[in-house]
Amino acid sequence: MNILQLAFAYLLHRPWLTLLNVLLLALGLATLTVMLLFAHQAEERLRRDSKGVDLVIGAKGSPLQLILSTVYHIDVPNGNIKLADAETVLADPMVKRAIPIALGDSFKSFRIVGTGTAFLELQNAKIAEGMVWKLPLEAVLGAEVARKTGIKVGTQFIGSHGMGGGGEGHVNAPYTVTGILAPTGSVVDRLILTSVESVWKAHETVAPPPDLATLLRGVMARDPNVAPKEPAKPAGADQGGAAQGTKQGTKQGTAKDGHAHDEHEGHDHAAHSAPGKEVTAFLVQYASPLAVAVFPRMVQNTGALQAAQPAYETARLLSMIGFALDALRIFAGVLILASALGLLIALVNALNERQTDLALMRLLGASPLRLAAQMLAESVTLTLAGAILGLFLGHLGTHLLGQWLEATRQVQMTGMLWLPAEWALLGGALVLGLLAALWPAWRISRQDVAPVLARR
Amino acid sequence: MTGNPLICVEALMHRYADSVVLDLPRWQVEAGRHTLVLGPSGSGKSTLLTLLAGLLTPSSGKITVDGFAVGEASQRERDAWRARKVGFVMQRLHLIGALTVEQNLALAQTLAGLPHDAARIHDTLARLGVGEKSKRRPHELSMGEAQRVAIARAVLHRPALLLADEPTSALDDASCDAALDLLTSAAAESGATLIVATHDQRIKNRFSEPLILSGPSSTVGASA
Repeated sequence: MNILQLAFAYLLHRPWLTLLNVLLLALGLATLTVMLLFAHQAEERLRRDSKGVDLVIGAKGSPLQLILSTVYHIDVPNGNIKLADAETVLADPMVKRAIPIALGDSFKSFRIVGTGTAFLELQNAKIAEGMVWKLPLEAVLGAEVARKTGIKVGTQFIGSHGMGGGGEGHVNAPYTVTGILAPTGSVVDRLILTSVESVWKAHETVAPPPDLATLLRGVMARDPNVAPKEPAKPAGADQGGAAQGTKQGTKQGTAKDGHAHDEHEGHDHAAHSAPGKEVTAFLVQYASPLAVAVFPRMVQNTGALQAAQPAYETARLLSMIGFALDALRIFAGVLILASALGLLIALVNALNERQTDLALMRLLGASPLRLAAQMLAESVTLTLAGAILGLFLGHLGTHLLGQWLEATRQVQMTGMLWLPAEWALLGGALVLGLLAALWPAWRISRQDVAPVLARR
Repeated sequence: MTGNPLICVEALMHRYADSVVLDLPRWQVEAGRHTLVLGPSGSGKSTLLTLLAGLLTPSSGKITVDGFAVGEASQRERDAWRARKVGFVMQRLHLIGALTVEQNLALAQTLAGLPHDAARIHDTLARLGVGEKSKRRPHELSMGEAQRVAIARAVLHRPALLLADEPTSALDDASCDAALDLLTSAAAESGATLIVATHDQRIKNRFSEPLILSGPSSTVGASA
């Protein structure tokens, strides 16, 4: 019967009281754990997805929406920009690299993103199977897209209008899968990547019968992100050739550095020369950090363009989430404080209930210190159980929340993650247990035995 | 008388607040001579036992038990000494409700600084006739069974001194005799000298030379 065995015996002697105390503490800690895991992964994800992107050039509107739609791919785009407009600013020597993003279609609610192969480099995405797209209407699938849809290399699929799926299918322009990417843990996993030309082609070649066209207009009227593409469409017939014809490419100002990806970018940007062509946005990398002071303003002053900085918008978004996280943190703090009080009450109760037990133990030879240690052991056992249960529930909760978010919001979140800060939670819970037991333990050690034993 | 006295008390006086509750000029008990401390409530019997066990420090005077100066030792020394040398049976039996009978005894071994000895526990319980109750909890025991367990716990570590405070006052005549039989045989078996404090007149004939306490001024019933 050592200290711990006795502590367990006492805790199990009042199972419901013990369970309630453990649960109370566990709930507070679980809330803190969920918050910790959630905040960490949200920040991590926001940082990883926007890595290497200094500036996004897109249509006028909300800068946050522009970033959310073209960098994080969680919001609908706020419109398209004319290539001709973008070209003039992208020719600036301050721009090291500019990667086009053309949105508008999706397959089974995974976004089809028209871009350049430089995007793969930016996201550090490697081909796991097959190869990168070469011709229009060839596409590469993100790891998760391939896993969820079960599409293999070499098969075809039909993209549909809009981001949510359920839009009109581009039956005349099926995509062929040429490759599948290795998992990156970033947004790329959830994207279908293709060339910008493909996106144009998908729309150009649509020659819907009149009744379908009416339907299509209805869809577009509902979906604001598709509407801006509309002007490009009537010109489709003569531009199909233009897009193909420019494949050999005129070298663009946006691909000035001598890297291998220049050629690919050349392809994408070659399309710039086609008048009236549109993309959703350009992801810009600066040639020099000094550009940040000048370049965004230059873009803002150029016609219909807007410049949005991922770093700034991300910080703004986090400060918005931060408010909710703070509220959650306070809530968890109150829960934990309540559980500490509950623990103190339980210990003081135990102290009063067990006066004769404690006196008896003194009689049997236990020193006052031993009794104090007994009380501490009981308290710490209780808080440790609460902390472990709390961390477990927190991870489980985050995992379930993650599954729900993945299904509804396309946000990846996992509970299978251990953060260093969780050790601090565990340590904090132990300190709480010790603090709650301090006063009862001190009282025990001062207890006079004889009167208690003599009590009749 | 031959041999060293197990208990040697000289000029012992103890006060609670302002009132003297015990005044014992001289008292000796030889090893093996079971002794009764008789007196009405408030005559200082329980105080004498707690002083003998080293749970209280006397206001003045000397207590020596088995060569150990109980009154002068530090609390830590007394705790350790009591754990090894003294067994205590109280009127209220004070078994720990959260533990089984067996665990109650195991705890006593631990607190006495002894290694866990399951065989000794079962042996002692069996000898007192409660061997099959070892997995029970105190609230599942009858009054008599609980007392046997308490006696088993008190003699488990083979103490030199077995103190019993009002062990019979809640019992009927038959049980009273049985309880005293148990105590004396348990004391004999473990080599302890039994000191019983009581106001129960039924048992005074079972002991020779009782110490009779009548309050602040006490007298020794018959000189040794």
